[in-house]
Amino acid sequence: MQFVPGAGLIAASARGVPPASVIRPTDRTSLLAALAGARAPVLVAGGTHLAAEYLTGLRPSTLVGLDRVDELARIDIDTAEIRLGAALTHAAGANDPALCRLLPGFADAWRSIANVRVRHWATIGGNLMALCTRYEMSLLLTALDARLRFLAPDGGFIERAPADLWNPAQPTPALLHHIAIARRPGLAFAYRRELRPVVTLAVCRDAAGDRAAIATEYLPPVLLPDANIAALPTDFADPVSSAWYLRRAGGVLLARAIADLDRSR
Amino acid sequence: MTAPIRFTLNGAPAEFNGPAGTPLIDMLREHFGLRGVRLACARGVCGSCTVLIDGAPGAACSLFAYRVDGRDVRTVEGLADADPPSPVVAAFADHAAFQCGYCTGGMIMLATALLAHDPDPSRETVVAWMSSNICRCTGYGMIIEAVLDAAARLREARDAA
Repeated sequence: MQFVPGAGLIAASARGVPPASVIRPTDRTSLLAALAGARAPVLVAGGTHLAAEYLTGLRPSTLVGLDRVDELARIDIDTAEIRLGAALTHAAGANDPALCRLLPGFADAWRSIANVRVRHWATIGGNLMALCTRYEMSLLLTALDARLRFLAPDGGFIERAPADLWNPAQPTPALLHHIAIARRPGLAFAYRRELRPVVTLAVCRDAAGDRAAIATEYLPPVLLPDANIAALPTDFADPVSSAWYLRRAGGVLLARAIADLDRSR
Repeated sequence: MTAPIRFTLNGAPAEFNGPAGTPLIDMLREHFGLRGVRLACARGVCGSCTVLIDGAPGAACSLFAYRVDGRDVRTVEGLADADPPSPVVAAFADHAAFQCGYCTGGMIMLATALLAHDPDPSRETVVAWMSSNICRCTGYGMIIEAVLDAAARLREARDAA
């Protein structure tokens, strides 16, 4: 094995990391100003992913903390949508009484993400924007057909689907503001993660039918529009699991998730 | 951000004038000398650096110093140095719920957070919470017994009050 100095193979103290300057905006105006004025700013919500990034060589010079921008940590619900602020922590979002009442399956799934320490600090937006295939929120929101709304420099919003994050041809705007879930008749959700990290699967049910999404430790989510495992691409395989295995295991998880939804009617 | 970070550390006012982007664990260990906050995985997974921030467990290796500005921070020293010691500390000692001891500070802090959140946890709840901290000596059985015993001690103390 070749030793690469500074590669972060050994978890040395972060003392070796040059201190970064920190900007902590308190509202949308100061946040946009900070993003416009800073050189190569790195956005920090919970910051839990950033520690891991340090170990792989990230050396930001300017951090823009999002923790004081209240509008990023809100849940807003009206008759049309559930809007989850990007800086909501997993603990705050998953235990929100209104969300638990309206979409209990999704709240349960969200509550299962990460460990108890990380859940109190890590955020839904960080989970998405880290773009790690092992992070689970992208899968959940793909199944839910959620919309990601990014703040544009002019203060308006740019909308993306969760799958767009994984498309290199589709540039991702910098600042995720909130995630919108359309409220619709019969909306229900189930998530199976017992085979994680090998394969995970989520199913969303509404009046239009069931839609599923499947992912692995190494592969971003793939949508199964009619919750039909036969729609899984034949090349859906990763370094540890064959396409044959993932199709079989995914089929099992799909059957279990659909049974969960049938029971919860 | 150049303003000092002011917060409460183990019950006493504290101030840090270093870079706001300093990792919290380095601030606690190097500036305040709290060596019970231990670095191991450096990515928020193992729990040996667990501290309580406004009562919520957090991985000090994965947070920046500025996040504790205006907040209440507790480390294992704040429990161990109390007189009498915290019932969680006493239960860990009585059950010998450690082998090498490297993970013990984080275990005690996580158990303290659990018992504040759920004073009467089931064994399953204790296992679910404590399994998020890693004991590389695999001394989990004694740790789980200690947490259940600490819960009983805290209940007795509350009933007696």
